[in-house]
Amino acid sequence: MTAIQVQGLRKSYGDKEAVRGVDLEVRTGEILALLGPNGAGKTTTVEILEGFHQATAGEVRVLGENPWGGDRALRDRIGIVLQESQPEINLTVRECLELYAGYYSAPRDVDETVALAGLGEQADQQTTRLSGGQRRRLDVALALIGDPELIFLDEPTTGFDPAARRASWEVISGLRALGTTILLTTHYMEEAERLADRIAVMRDGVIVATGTPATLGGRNRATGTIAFTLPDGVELDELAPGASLDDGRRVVMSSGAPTADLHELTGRALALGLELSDIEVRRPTLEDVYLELTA
Amino acid sequence: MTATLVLHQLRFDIRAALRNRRTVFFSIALPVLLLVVLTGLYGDAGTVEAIGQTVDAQQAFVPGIMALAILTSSFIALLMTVAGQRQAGVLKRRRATPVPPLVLIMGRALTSMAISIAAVAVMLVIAGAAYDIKPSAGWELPMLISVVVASLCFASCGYAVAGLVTTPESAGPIVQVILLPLQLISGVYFPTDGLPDWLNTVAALFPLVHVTEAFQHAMFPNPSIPWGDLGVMAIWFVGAAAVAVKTFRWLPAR
Repeated sequence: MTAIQVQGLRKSYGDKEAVRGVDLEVRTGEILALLGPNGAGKTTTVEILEGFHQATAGEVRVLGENPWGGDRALRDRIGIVLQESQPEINLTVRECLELYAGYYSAPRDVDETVALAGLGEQADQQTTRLSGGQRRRLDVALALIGDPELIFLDEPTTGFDPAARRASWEVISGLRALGTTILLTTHYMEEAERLADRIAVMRDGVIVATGTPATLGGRNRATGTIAFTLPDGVELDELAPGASLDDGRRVVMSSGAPTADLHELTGRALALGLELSDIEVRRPTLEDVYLELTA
Repeated sequence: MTATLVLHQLRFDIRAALRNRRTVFFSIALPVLLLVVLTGLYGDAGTVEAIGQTVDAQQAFVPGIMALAILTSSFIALLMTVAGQRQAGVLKRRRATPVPPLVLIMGRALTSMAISIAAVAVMLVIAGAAYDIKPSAGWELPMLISVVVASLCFASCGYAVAGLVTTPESAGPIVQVILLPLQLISGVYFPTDGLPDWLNTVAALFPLVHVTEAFQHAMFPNPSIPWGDLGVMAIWFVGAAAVAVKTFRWLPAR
């Protein structure tokens, strides 16, 4: 089952081509994170899927329908957190949700939604008195009020402090448990790694890689590194022939077979009676892979 | 079903508008203040000529202040609210929901109408109770029709201008440059019988003087339904709606 199907999507503004042939599939029930630097075309792509802009070329299906044209039945089934939006003013949190609940054919309960978004304490506050993080949670609540099958989250936690970000992840994970399909864009690798079932990386208007957080860009097969500080009174060649010293006495070795390399290294160290107390084995982080893909 | 949704939208739009201090001040408090000030000013100014009748000066300017109240609540407040909501991304988010756009348009327009009716009612009460300025028998229907049509006309103009500008900030100066001279030649603050003919001709092209005159027809002796003035307002309503359909945008300028 696919929730979103995109083939050969292109979008031009004048002579500038923001999206240059995107193919993308979001499966029902999964969380797909769309990553990419500013200007890569993420928001343009997402806003075409949301029905705000018409594709210049290509095939787009959201829950089986073409989002352009504003079909009410389709909008009844999706929820959207825009990248930038301010709250309705002169209404309380609860009133905002009541207003939006009226737009949908089968809305979620207002109190339940308030609780789900973590706004229980602020339910009767004017929206203008909410903090930045609380406003963003209200955005999420407004996207959830229609009890959607599919939710678009465009940078939902930008500007959050770490605690607020973690709280949002709880909310988003909770939605996954309810079976909601989510298309998420984010700048935070940790967010993508925590939440996403799959990641698609966009650069210059095209998708350059797709995969799970563990396998994206061949991350699982990529060369890792072994690092340790050379103990005093030992020559590097005695311990790790062929390796080179970083600045000071830090040794960083790249390793295509960390198990074997580590075995050999620690064997020598034991034979020499040395303790490599700060040894670490590191495979490339998602950020390493991402930066390489988008460089 | 759409009618139910319009009522739903109206309920929240009215609530928000009544919590907007600017809207309440400029639509209701300021006109009342002007009423008090001008009543003092024209206290013994004798009589003036308007719509072919000779009336007490005090009585003559009440319709002008009513027209001003409707201009403020239906045109300026609507324009500023809608342009502000667009810039804030509120309209964009609403359009992402299944709500039909017409519901949103009508919700805010009817909110303006409700405030216009409230403002006129408050002025009628104060003018009658404090200054004994009362309309003659048979005023109700002409008054109600005038408020409704004038409010719809100005709301339509509000959506047209909202389509032509990008932000509330850019709308402000343009609106004031047009509106202040227009108010002066449209009989809002004083009768227009002393103005040169060409100024009256210019004023007659715009809806404001017709709103003023419509209220004069309702407030002065022998009230009548001002079909001619209502016709001009209707033309402006249709013309402005056509401009709005062509130019109005839901998404903020990028």
